[in-house]
Amino acid sequence: MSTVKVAGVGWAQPGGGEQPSHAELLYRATRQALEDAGLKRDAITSAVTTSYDYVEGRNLSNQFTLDSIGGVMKSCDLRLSDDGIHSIAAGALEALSEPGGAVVVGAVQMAGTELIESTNRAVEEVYFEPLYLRPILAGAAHPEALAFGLAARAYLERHGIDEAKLAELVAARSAGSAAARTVAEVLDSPVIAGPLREGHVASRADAAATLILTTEAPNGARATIRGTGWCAEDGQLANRDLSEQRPTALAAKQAYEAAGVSDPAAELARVETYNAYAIDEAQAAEALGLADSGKGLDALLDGDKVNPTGGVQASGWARGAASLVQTVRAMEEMKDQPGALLASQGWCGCGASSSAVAVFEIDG
Amino acid sequence: MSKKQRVGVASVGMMPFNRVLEDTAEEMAYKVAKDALGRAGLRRDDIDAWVVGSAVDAFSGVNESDKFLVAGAGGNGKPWFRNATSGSTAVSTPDLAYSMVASGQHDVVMCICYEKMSDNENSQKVFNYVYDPAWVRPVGLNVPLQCGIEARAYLHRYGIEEEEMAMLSVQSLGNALDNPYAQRGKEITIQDVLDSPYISWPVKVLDTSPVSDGARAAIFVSEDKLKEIDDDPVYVKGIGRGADSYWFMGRRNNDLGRLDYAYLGAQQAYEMAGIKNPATEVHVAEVYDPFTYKAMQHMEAAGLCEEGGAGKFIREGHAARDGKLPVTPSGGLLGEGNPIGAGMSRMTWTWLQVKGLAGECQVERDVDTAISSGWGGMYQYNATMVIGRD
Repeated sequence: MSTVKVAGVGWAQPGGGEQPSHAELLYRATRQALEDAGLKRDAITSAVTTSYDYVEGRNLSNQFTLDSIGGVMKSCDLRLSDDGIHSIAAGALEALSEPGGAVVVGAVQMAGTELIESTNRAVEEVYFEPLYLRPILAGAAHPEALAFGLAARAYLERHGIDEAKLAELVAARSAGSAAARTVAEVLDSPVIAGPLREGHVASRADAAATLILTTEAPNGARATIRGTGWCAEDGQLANRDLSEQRPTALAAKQAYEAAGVSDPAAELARVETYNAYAIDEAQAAEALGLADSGKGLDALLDGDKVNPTGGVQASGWARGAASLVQTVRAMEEMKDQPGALLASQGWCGCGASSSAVAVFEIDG
Repeated sequence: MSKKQRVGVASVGMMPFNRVLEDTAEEMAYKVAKDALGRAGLRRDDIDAWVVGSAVDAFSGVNESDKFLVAGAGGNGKPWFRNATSGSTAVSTPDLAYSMVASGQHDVVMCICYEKMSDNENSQKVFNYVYDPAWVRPVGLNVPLQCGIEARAYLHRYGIEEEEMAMLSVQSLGNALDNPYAQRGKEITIQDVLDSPYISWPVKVLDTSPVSDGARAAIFVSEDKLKEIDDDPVYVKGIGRGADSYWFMGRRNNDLGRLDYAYLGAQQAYEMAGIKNPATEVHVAEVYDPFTYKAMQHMEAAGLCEEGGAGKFIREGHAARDGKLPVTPSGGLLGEGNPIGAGMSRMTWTWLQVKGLAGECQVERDVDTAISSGWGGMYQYNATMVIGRD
């Protein structure tokens, strides 16, 4: 039996006033991860990167990452068009199927500085298939928010929850950050997809993150991957129950079974989830087994183990890379908690039709 | 987490390729998944996980377009990955399926590769957006233009003649006449090829694979599962993947005529498969052949003939269906069509050859070991897969 270790981690955001390229930002994160792992570039054997072409504004958008991650003349071609947590799961499989190698898992996103508002609308629009879904977007300034607006309405109405509670979650998560919003500011902001308002949506950001996965980590490791799970549902919104995040629930079930987690609320020390639209965090908390159905918001507002640093509501949303950044930062902050379990979740697809979960045990 | 286990291929799913198919991508996925399940005697519920490959989202105009195939492919509520490395999706996607089984995470994985290029009116505009926006994109480079540069470098380096490229086209389009899934089976002459218009010298229209719609499926299974359902099991013997710099003007060997990264991928695959002399140990090959010269580069990188010797190899008839080492007896991308993300067709045909199920495309010699390849990214990725029986 082999296990997969997270031998090293790194993450990077542009410094004040500078405008690094995609390649430079990912290079910084990978260089950090190599140093963290005590490895040289030559140790890298393969890679799994993740990227979204439309968001990047280029096709085959991962290919430029090859040079940044030290992948020249290596098996560093695999590229997922899924979330960063999916690439951790795929990277773990790669490591297990060829033990002894060092697998780079990485993502970079520069949408914060490169996507102008009009372009962003076009990018979000193509998340919806053209025949049945795209026509309903006519006039929508924030197309993707429509999917999460439907989810928020379905969730709040199903459980009889006031929308102010969702605003409370945003205020709690963004508190103390540059993106801080009060409950009143959220509720006074314009409706973009009722009940979602502009204030519910995380701002875009630039970031890169790299994890190095190995089956052998003689220099020590940040964590051990105890389980991964990933799952997709039909992309068509009408074919799904939007009041819950079923893909996350199924992914969590797979990850927990592998990790031997039977009571996640008690056993997990920390959980990092996507919270770009706030409602996604409430639904994910329930899907991850941290709260009963309809009690996700209460559990999040009363507890302190989910997104303790605010998630993307505080740090900004670098789509695809954000969940890796959250995972890396959590591992750095938990370095003095050997044995503690960390779970990370990320979604992708139209209205979170696909989700992935990874469970890590922090190494001593 | 898991153990490492041996991986086999239980089945493949086929459908006709064509310039424009009425089917949606979801319907294509349904057809090939159903065909693969039926050929293996499996049911949808037997599948543990799915991995899906297509070249780029811009062909469909839908971001994360694979997510709208989930129901058609039978993967609703199941583990689902999407891989996208352009032409090398042909092997990188089945490689991911291989890892899902080899790692012990799953026992039965459905791998579907597809492309619906007809949804996009300008595929070369799509490829122009592969290049970096600051330096190369403004020049207007696209696939034929860059392949012209590569082909010139290749022909110059090895003294290959355009006529030898044409001979491969004649062979492949002729082979495709016997392929029920092919869109361009045709009897042509060397002169027809030489007389066809240049799209980027020395590459001519008939040196080039046609734009196409289509899909393929393959089911990867653990050894234990395979032995339950197949008394003539075919295994994945070797996989190798090589990648070179994004900057095509900065390749490590400074020579676009020799694909070092393709040699690397083949070398890895052969090491894993225990193959010392591919020219004698490989019995049939389906190399990735979007252009004639590209097939020749891939034949050489895979060690099927001497480096620089592909022209002579073809001229002497060794690559023919009744030759000593048949190459693309199905007609390849040149004859079958090239829905880019569905390049896994090459691997599915090797499975049909090993199983003796290739119909009129079946080669004369006995086949125990076969290879397929894929090529993609910014002309920078290459991968080889070896399959065969023990």
